Amino acid sequence: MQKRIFLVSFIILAVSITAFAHAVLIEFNQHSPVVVMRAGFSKTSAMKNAAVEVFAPENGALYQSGQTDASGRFAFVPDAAGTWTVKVDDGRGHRKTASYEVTASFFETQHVEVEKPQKAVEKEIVIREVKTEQIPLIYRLVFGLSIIFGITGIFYGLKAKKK
Amino acid sequence: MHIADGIIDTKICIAAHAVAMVAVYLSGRKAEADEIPKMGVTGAALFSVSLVHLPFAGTAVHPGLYGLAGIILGKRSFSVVYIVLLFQALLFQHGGLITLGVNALNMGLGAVSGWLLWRIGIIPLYVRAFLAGLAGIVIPALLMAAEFEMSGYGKGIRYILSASLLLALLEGSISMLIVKFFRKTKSDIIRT
Repeated sequence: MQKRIFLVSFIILAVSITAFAHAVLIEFNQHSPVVVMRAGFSKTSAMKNAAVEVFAPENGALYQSGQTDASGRFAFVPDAAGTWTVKVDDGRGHRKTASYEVTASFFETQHVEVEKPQKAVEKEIVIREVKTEQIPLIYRLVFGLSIIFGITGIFYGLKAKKK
Repeated sequence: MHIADGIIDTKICIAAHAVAMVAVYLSGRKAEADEIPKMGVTGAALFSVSLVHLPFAGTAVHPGLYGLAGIILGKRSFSVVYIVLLFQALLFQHGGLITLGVNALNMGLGAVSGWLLWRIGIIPLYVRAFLAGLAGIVIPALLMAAEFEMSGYGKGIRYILSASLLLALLEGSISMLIVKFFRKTKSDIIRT
């Protein structure tokens, strides 16, 4: 009977994986010349009004700082190629650092000719999504539970043998 | 509720980890064989429940059930909380690995205070259960707020405590309900 109680409660808890875990997820979208970063806890839950700092590639100097908007987004305009670093911190213990690679081709899509209106060059909008990669949640949950039960089993076996 | 890496000074983190390891040892030593399955299943519950994501005022909180772990496991709860936090950090990035000791102390003490409150016999049973569940969140929140203040970080104690208070009330209620459930089924899981 006790085992059934635990099993039922465990299933109920396990089913609540419809909600995402608590890690800060950062994704970048490139709309040359702008890079837009989005910070959130999941697809639907954004990290609003979190402090953002952007660091330039060469010397790691602070390039720009500000706050994410109500959708958890922050935009900056890189001025050089290289690895840009973004730090997000919401002042409540959730912080994450992520880097974004700006290639030389990032700066090549700027040609908009204004003098010759009949030959206006279309501005190429490059959209590249760089998301922090994660193994799907369900696998991590099952893995964690397996380890916990495995460790429990080992200790139980050792203790029971001693008796 | 879990503190991420980089907020608290590393030396403090190392010292906290040493203290936490001592506490884990003291909590786990001479555990009887029949206690261990209970520890495992409670640990699994604590681990899973942290996935329940309650958005609150632009941030998110998640249940911890530390008070309940104190009620069910007594002094064994500290070691179980440590293991749970380790895997939460590794698999879900809830909290950092360097700050694991600090987090373990915060939440382990929450579980232990839940246990101590549970043991005070003069308080009526369900009030005890509610207080234990409440303490399991309030104590870690207070400790975390103090640590943030000392590290000069964060938007202030008020923000952290306001988010945690709602969760604390929720957990108090959950503890009460679960104690009631175990009593009704005349289970011997909880010693009253």
